[in-house]
Amino acid sequence: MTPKEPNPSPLAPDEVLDRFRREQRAAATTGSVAASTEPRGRLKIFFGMSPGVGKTYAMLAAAQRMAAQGVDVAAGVVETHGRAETEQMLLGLDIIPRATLEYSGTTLHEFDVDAAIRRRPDILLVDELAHSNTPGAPSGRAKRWQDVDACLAAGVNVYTTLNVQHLESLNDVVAQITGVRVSETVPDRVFDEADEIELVDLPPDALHERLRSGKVYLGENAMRAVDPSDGFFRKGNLTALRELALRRTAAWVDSELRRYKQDRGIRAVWPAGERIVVAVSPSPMSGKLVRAAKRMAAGLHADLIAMYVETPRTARLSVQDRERLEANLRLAESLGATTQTISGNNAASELLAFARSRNVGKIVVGKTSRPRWKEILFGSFIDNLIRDSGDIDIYVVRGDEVGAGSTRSIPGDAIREPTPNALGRIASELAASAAIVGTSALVALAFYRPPDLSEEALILLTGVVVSALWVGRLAAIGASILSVLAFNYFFTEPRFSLNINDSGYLITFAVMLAVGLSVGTLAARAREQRLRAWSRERSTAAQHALSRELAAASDIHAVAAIVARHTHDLLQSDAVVCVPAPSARAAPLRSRQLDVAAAAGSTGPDWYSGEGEDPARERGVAQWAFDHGSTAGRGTTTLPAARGRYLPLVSSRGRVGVLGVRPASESGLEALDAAQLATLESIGSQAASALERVTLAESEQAARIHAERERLRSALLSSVSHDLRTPLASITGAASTLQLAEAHSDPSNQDGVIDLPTRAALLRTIVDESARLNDTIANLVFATRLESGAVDLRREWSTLEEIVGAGLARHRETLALRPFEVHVPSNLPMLRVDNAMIPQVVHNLVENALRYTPADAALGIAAWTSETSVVVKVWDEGPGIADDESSKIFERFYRGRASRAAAPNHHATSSTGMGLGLTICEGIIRAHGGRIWAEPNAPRGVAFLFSLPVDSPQPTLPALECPLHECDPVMPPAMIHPVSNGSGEP
Amino acid sequence: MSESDAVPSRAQPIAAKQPAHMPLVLIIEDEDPIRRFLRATLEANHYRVKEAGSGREGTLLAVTAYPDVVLLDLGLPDGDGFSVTRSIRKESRVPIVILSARGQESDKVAALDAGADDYLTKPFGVGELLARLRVALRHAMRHGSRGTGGDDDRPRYERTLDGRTLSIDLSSRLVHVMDRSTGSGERREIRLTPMEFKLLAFLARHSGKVLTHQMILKEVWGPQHVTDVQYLRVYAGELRKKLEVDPAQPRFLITEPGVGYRLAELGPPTR
Repeated sequence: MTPKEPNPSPLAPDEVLDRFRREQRAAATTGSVAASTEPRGRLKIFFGMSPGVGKTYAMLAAAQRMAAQGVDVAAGVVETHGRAETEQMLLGLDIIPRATLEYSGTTLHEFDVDAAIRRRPDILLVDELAHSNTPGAPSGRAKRWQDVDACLAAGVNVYTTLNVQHLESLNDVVAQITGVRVSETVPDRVFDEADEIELVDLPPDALHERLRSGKVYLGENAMRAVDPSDGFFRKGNLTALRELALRRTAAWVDSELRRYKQDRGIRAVWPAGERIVVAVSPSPMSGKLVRAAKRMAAGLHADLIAMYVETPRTARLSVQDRERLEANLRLAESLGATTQTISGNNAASELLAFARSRNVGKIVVGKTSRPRWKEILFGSFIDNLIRDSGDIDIYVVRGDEVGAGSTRSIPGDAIREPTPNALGRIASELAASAAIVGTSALVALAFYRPPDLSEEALILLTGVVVSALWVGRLAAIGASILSVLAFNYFFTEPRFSLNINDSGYLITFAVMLAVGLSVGTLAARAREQRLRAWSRERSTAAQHALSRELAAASDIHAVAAIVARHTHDLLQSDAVVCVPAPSARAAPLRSRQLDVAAAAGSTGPDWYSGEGEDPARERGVAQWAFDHGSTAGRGTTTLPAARGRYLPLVSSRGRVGVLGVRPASESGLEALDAAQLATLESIGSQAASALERVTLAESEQAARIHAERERLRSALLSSVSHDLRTPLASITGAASTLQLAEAHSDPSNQDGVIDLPTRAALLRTIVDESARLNDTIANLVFATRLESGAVDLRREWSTLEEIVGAGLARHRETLALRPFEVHVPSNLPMLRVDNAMIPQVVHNLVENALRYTPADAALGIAAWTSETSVVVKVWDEGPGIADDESSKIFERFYRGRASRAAAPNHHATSSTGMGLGLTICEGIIRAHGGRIWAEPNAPRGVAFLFSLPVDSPQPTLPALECPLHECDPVMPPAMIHPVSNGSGEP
Repeated sequence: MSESDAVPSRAQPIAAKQPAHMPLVLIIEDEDPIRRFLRATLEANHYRVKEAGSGREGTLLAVTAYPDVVLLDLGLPDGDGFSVTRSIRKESRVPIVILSARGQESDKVAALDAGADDYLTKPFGVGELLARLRVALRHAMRHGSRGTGGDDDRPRYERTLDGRTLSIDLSSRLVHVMDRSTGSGERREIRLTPMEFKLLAFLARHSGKVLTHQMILKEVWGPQHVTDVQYLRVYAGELRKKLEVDPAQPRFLITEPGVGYRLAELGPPTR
């Protein structure tokens, strides 16, 4: 038995996923391509409970220690607040000058991110992580933590400082404790992902001591700050803040430990990762709800999902509510939650269905403050939720009434504020219902047959149902009331008055009203559902159409055009799709310049790609979105002044482009509602995968071509080195033998002396092998030129006879030793060919025949003409080639099998050959529009044939002449000299 | 290799007999090994040698050192052989022989049309080199002594190649061939048309030298026909039919692919 391997226990799937996400995020933030070469910088946070505990001092002290060890430390931003001790710590550190900018008439100095990244220190000091940049700061980012993120992404290590009150999830807790709400917050993600946290702790009494001695605030501020009874620095406050800071640090250490364990595959002791869903609404108190859920999630190491359920009632939110909802969802995102918007009829059941599908254990909702009668009438959302929750825990969190506006809300129950528009709609609905009721009353009058009034009542109720189905719920209610009134007025005694004789009619009225209301409501709901289903279907159909069109697109520009068009159609916005410029595709991800691939819109793409400042800004925002992989522009925290919103298209392999939309309406922070944003996201993800697909297809094609080229190149290299070295070896051998003989020409010593015939043979070898080497090199150069298309034909009229003669010239001596025949008729048409290249073809074919046939095998050249071409045949009576070889034989580097078999029969230089000669022939012939092929020769051997097209008309030829001394020298030209007839043949 | 047959040689004996008049060769070539090899070879064959490593230096030496012949490499680092040829030609009529690699046909033609006298394709054998220099010197000498007229206006030429002897008498406009292999040694008169004769006469006066299509067309057919290469092809074919044993494997009228024609070097009649 082999000893058992200490298998690491498998990780829970959630942990694997978690780790994968973390690694992926790390790769994404550094730029996946650059990730391997330029690791993300490390972030160390000096974390404190309040101002004045000495964070900056601690940071500088650490920096000084590092500097003393020879580490390159540079200060990007250090806020000394005029504190002498701190200023002293800054001595000797390299300070990066701040960028100056004008803002509202004053000159401000802001952290110069680009300068810092260019400077590339080992450690960069950036004080006050929570700082908000002045609008128009050089970096274009709203917050300093974003600047720091950029530095980290560029591979620069950063030391920074942070107070507990600036952490997003603790923001309102701190506000409750201290009564001071800080507006500058840092997402918890930044803190959680820091590589090191150093808690700078100071007991409250010691802090008070420092405050009193003026070490924190100077002058008057100092006294005000230390006022023990009141203010931020109350001892109670400080104790609570200290606890918060300690606990948060502990939580960080805990998660760090967890991360450590996960990274090393240590089986976790805690259960699989939990998920918490928080139900978000447009209510202002949802913010608090989200923060509470975040704290819960952080404590449980759970993932947080923020959900908004859109129901028929909430489908039409007011503009303010829309904006608040967006803000709440964005807050959730900044707290590290994923957000989700779904639509359904019943908020509670949709929420639960989603929770079950995602294996969510806990749902956090806000406490409702609706009047009791409403709950009885319409049902309580929370009651429904709890009733159907099953094994899911429901947490109901107290709402914060601060600033609660007109709308109190829980998901699915927002009430619309009446707006002028809405009032108009109500009026028109009521008018419509009045018209319908009037019509039905007229119909009922036609059937008026007292005393039985049941038919009339039923006809009026039909009017109610029609109102509900055609117009809506409000019309149904109005129609119910109007029907009862009409019934009273027209049909009950006394008629044409609202008085009644019979009190029994009251019951009829009540029943009629109740039936009318319930039937009307039901019918109206059915109508709404139908409308919603229709709109959902339309949106689904649109998405389906998009994906179907995208599937058919085969290149980047087709994909971009489809995406732009659909975005324009679905969002009624100008749309633009940008992809990295082709020249920049190979560049590192960050430095890729974007190009407009397609645009769609009513006003043309000038708002984006035109001249001037505004389009330039839009392009800058798009580039930012691409570079950072996050949405930017209008309605986001990054560069919100832009007119368009830019969504990076991120596929599984990285960023592939940017989708920009410019909503038609110019006003309002948020011109796109949640549904539109969801549509945008969905288009974005489809576009990203389509772009990835076509890019992959293109790069796969390129890779295949590249691989093929590489294969050829390596084949060429090995072939070349062999075919060049062999003759070189012969030359070197022969030459060095001669050299040695020269050195030993001492007559007394006969060693190494070679006789004259040997000497002649050696010299002959040198000359022959040099010629062969030269041929090989010339072939190589020629093949390369042919391959690269660098050959241009210099066509001129030529005769085949002359071509053959030139092609044979260099073989003359070898051919003289063999049975060789040439049959080239002199009456062949002239050819317009390159007069230097075609002889090369003849030369190579003869060379080939000489090389691969025995020395006594006959060979020859024949030529004839067909109607449109001249065919030349170079044949031999050698061993021939197999059938399956004849197609391969023109491939580069192909050497026939015969080359091995026949080699020994031929002269010394025959044993090798790169097969380049035939490839060159093929290239030349093809360039001339001809054809080259091999076929068996009768009775044996092989024949290579090539055809060249005959140009017509043939050139003008000189006039016929008489031979000298035979006829009158001044005889005029009588006829055109025919090529076919050799004149004056003796 | 084509010059391996017995060529009636003139330059060599003169050089050997009169060392004081050893011809001076200017080598314009940037590759040291080739310069070294050329110097060694030429000095062993009774030439004096001057070397230049660049086109600028070469141009200067070509007019100041009075060389008898210039060997000019086409692949100089500081300018193409074409422009060097042209600047030498402005000052001097010294024969220029181009050294070039295969595949540079258009460069060769440009240099020849600019006034170079001949070319050698690298790599070349020593026999070939010496033959070209001889031809160049001989033509220069003829030209230098007479000053005007054709390059070489001796009246009678003769050459034997592969057993066939070609004799040309320009003054009587008679051309004969005699085949040794036919045994009888019978001299046959070749009947040429006026244009054929005009072409052959021009080639004979420059025998051994390469002539570009343009040069031949301009001289034989006139400047208006310099692009009518097909004329030349037809007449070359006709001449070959009459002069050569096998027109498809010519020995006398050699095609220089992509450049022009060369008539094998002819000597004075042996009789």
